[in-house]
Amino acid sequence: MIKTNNLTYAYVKGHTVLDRISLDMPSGHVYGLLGRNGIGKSTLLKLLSGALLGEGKYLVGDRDPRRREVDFQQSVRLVPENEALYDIDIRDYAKITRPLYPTFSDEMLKMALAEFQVPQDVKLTEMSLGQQKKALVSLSLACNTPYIFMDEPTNGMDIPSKSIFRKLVAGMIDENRTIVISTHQVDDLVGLMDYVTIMENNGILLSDSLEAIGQKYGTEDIKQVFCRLVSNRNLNH
Amino acid sequence: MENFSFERICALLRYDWTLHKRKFLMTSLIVMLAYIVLAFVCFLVSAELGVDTVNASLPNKMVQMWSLYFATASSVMFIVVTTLLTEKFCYSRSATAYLSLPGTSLEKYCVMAVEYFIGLVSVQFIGLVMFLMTMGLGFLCVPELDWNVNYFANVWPYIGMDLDKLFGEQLGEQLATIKHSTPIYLALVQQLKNLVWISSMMEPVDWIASIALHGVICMFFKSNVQIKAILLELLLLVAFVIVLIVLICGWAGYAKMNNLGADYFFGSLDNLIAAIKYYVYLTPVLAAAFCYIFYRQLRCKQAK
Repeated sequence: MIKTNNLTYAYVKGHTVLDRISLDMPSGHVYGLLGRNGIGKSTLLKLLSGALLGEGKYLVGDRDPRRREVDFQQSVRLVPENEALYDIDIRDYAKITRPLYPTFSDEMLKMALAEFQVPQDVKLTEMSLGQQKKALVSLSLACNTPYIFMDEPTNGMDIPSKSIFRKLVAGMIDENRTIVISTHQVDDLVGLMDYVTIMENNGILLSDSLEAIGQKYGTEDIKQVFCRLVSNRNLNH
Repeated sequence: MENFSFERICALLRYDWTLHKRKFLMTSLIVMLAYIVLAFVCFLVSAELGVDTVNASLPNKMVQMWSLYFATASSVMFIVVTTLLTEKFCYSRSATAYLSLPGTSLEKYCVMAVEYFIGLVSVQFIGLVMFLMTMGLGFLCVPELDWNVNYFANVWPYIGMDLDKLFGEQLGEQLATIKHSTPIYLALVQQLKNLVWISSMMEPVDWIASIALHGVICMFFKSNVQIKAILLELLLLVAFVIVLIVLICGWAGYAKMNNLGADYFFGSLDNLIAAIKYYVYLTPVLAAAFCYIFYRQLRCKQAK
C-alpha cells in the first residue's frame, strides 16, 4: 500500500515539481504512471523510494521513506531512467547487489536474462542501450522486493523485448507486491497495468483502475483518455 | 547503535568500490598531478622573488620542494579528494541509486570514510613513485652534489624519530644504519612509512575533522540542495589555496627583503606550513559544527 497526502516537492525553492499530491495505491497491482516529459513522474518515484525527501505525509507500506530505514530500503528497488553504467558484467553486478537484498532471487535473474537473451559475460558499457535496460531491469526484478519502481524501463527496448518485459512483470505480481512503472509511452504498458495515474501540471489528473476509467470515460484506451483529459484541462486554463 | 551492521558496510563497500574504483583512483591521480603543478608554481614563484637559491644545491632544492609538497599535500588532498567524493555521493547520477540502497546514513558514511582512506593510500603510493623518479633523476644528473643525511633529517622531522617504535627495535636499528649511510633509503623509508601509516594517521585531527565535515555535509544535504555542499567545499578549497599562496609568496618576499637565504626560507616554511595546517583543521571543524546545527534543524522540520 502506497499512500500520499499532500506530498509536495521542489528542487529549487519557488519552483514546485509536485504540488500537494494525494494518492492511494493498494498492493497487488501494476500501476502505470503516465504524463508528459518533465511533469514529475521520476521525482515521485525517487520520493517514494527515499532518494529524495519531500514534504507532506507519505507512506510506502507502513514506512515513511524519508526515514530511510534499512528494512524499508530492503523492500524497495528503484530502477532510475538514467542509471549510471559500469565496466562490469551483469553477473558481477548481481554478485555485489545480492548481499544487500535478503529477498534476492538467483532463479529470477537467470530466468529474466534468459528471456531477454542478455549475455552475462559482456560488460554493461559494451552493451547497446536496449541490452543495458534489459540487464538492469532483470537485476531489479531479481531483487524481488515488495515494491518495485521503474522509471521509463522500456526506453531503448525493441518490440519483442517490450513484450517479454510485460510478461516478466505480470508474472511477478501478487497480493503483496506493488509495481509502479513510469512512462510516457502508454502503448508499452497496455495489458500490463491495471491501475493508471496520469500526472499533469504538478498534480494528479486521474488515478483509478482501468475498469473504473472504462466505466467513467466509456473506453479503456488510456491514450485516448489521456489526450482528452489533457486537452480539456488546457481548454479550461 | 540502532541497525548498524558491519556485514552491510562490507557489502556496501564492495558494491561501491567495485563500481567506482577506476574513477576513484583516476581522481586521486589527477588531484596528485594538479598538486604537483601547484608545488612547482610555488617553487618558481619563490625563485622569481629572488630567494637565495645559490647556496642550496639542486638535489637539496628538489628535496625542499618535495618537502613542501608532502607537508601540505595531505591537507589539500583531504579537501580536494573529498570534494570530488562528495560530488560522487551527492550529486552524480549514481547517487539516486546509491541513496536508495539498503543501509543507514552512518553505514554509507563509513563506506565513504574507508574509500577516502583507500584514496589517500593511492595518493601516497603515486607520491612515492614520483618521489623515487625525482630522486633518480637527481642522482643521474648531478651525482657529485651534496646528499647530506642531516639535511633530510632537518627537512623531514619525522625521519628517524620513531623508527624503533614503528618497526620494532631490531628493524629500527637496521634502518638507522641505512639512515646514516644512504639517504635515498631513508627517504624511501619515510615514504613507505607514509604509505603504511598515511600522514592522516599521524595527524588524526586532520583526518577526523575532514571526515566529519564531509559526513555531516553528506547527511545534511541528502535532500535536494546538494549543490550547496559542493559550493561550500569548493569555497573552503579556494580559500585554502589562496591563503597558502599568499602566505608563501609573502614569506618569500620577506626572506628576500631581509636578505635571508634559502635555508632560512625553507626552514621557516615548515613552521608556516604547520600554521596553515591548523587553519585546515579549524575550518572543517567549524563548518562541521554549523552543518550539524542546520542538519538538526532540518530533521526537526521534517519530523513535524
